Amino acid sequence: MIALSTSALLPFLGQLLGLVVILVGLAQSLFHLALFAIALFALAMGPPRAGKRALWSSLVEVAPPLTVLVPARDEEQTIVDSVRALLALQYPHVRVIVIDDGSRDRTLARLVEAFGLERRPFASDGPLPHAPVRAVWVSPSLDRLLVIEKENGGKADALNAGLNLVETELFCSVDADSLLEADSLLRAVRPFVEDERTVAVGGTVRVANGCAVHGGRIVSVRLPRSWLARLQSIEYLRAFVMARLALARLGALPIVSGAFGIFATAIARAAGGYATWTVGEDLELVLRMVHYAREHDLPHAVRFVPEPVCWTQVPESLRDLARQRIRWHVGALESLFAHAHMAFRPRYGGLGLLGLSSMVLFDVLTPLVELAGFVLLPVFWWTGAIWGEFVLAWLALTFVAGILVSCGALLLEELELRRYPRARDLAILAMVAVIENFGYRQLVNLWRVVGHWRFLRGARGWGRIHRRPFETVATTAASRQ
Amino acid sequence: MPFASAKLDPFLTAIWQLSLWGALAGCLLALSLVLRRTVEEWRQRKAPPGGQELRQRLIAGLAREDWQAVRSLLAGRSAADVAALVDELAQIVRGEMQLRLVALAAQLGLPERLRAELRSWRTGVRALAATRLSLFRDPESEAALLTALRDPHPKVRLAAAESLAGRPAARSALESRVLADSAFARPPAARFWHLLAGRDPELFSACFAATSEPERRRLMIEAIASAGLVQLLPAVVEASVSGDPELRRKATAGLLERRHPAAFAALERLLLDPEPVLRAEALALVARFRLAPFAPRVLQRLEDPEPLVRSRARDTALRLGLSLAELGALSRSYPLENLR
Repeated sequence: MIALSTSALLPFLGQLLGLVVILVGLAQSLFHLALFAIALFALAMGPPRAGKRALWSSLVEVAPPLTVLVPARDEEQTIVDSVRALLALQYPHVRVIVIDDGSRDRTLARLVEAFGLERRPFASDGPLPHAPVRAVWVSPSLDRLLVIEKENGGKADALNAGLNLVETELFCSVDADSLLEADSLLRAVRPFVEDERTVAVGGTVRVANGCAVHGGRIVSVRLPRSWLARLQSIEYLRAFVMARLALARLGALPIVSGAFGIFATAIARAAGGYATWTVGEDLELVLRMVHYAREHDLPHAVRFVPEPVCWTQVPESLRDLARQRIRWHVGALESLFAHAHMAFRPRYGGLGLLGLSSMVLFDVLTPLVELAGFVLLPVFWWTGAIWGEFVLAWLALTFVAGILVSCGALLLEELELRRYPRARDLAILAMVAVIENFGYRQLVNLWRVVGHWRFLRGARGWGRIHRRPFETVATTAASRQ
Repeated sequence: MPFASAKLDPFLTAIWQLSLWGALAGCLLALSLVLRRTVEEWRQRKAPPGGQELRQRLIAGLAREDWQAVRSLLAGRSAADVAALVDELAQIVRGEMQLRLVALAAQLGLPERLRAELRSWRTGVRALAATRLSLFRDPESEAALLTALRDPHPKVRLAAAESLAGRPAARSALESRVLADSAFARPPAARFWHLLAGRDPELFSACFAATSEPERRRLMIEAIASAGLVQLLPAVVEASVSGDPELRRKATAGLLERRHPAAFAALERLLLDPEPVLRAEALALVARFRLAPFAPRVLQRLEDPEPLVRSRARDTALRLGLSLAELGALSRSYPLENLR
């Protein structure tokens, strides 16, 4: 009797799983293709903006003063270059606050040496709680630079310490290992000038590995030499140039990247600043700001501008990448669960109906289903529970949809930003768009499932990711010869 | 068994066909992008210089001890291309590398060429040459720039003055010219005054003391606030009560930017200025700097006799986060406007 039930159950389960996998895979592919079409439409409707001079003259009188917050921990390799680049940004009124979050290396010492900083005692009385501040450091010659030295409390805690000292209408959060293009703030601030509802704006984040840097500026854009970083390059293209552009167009953008985002100070503060209980503080802040604005009947909009580009270093070892992706996923799950009440609710507009709902469906559920499909379908095939040709057809469709979406992102990049200067780079990226479907995509899904597990276990923490100094012009030239 | 049956043949065929067409579309798309770029690259290779590769190699070369070797990279390029490259690199490199770049440009005869271009019949060429000569500090180039201060076109005169700003040898000539020339009192000169305030505060102070022309003082007041010239900030405070409305507006904005203790008093005055446009501008400043303590003053302006000011006051109040109820309750004199 038991044997009979088992023999009937296995094919049934196989068929059921097959159906679920097909439907989820199909929905995800269609969703991504729809995002591609919308991004293409958005680009056609709002092509890249004017050149630097026109941008400056049109915004210099109206751009609101802005403070750049740079949380830094153990960033001695890149911090001086990053701060130099920030101070050289083309923006009428910009101030830079670096928050040294209890670095264990010479991050603070490097800043003190490079900018001749002087120590001042400090007592914080801002509205946002944070770990104790030991001192603030100011430069006698540069009143636009301030460094906060505080005890370690995490990135969100550091940002809160900085946010307490922001005196400007807008603030921009930038990772210490990131480099902004000179006109990026001017380009990103435009939605705040044009639309009073804007509460947050995100820009494109690109992979800096392989690029040559001089004086804190990218002087030569190249693809990374590491294949792992190249795989991430195409992922970043898909995420920023395609998905965020499309979601913002639909008024459904749920996230502004922590690597580069501009926020309305008053609403961010009123909403309670950055949450220290999650490692996905960027997503959480946007959700909380929108929630706050909605609950207080304040007009609000989250925008994305593709032209401002922020270059960031990505992990080049599997171990670091795994840590980063697991952390991102845990952060996303924490934020999603904390704001689950916003998902699928028309009250929260496009963000609730589409942005959060798609995150729940495609970021939370799909990795589980896809991974189960990759593991179990071959098993069911091997046991004869399902038809082999079906498994192959499903695999082909999944891979082709993935390749098409990535090629679509490449097309958008070509139409929109054109940051990679050589045909060879494009050819490599096209190749990477194919390769990533065989192993890398599954690996990322596996890390997401591990993220699920960590989230359920309540494990937290950032982990330490190894950073390298930016490649200077000399080293890049030498390595290419 | 629906997934183990030949009945699914049409379904599977459809999936395969879809996959094949999709793969074909993806390949064609990628191929067309790469081909397009390859053709562009091929065209660029035929055309002379530029390119990131060259720029990168030049910077790398300038960083080395044998930096003179980079001269070979510029061999065979036209003088205009070399000038453009040097101009571009000068924005990127600093310190010792910038000095080497200037020396290299001098070896290549760039200053002579730029000095010759200062005599061109085309205004744009002369102005660009004057801008690019800012790199060179040799006496001939300085003399050429001083001559350019008397160029018939104001654009060239401004470019030459910007290049001379901060050079001790050119101070007296620059002072007399910028005070005598009306081009330095017009809006395009704002950049020059900003540069001078940053590079030579002493000369700037002397010019400021010597001028009483309202247009010129407006530009200079703006530059003082922007550069944060502490010793001249009292002049900005003084300008905030001047008889010139535009000067009052710029001075108040400048004081707010510098977070000067006198800023709030100046803003209070501007909010009560007899000129309606200035009252509206003052409200715009309150909104721009999000000055919540001014909320009561903003609400008072809702009763302003001028519609422009009332409208700006309403916008500012909303930007400060005041509720519509507060606005409606206080704006009694103009009830119809509350309906908007």
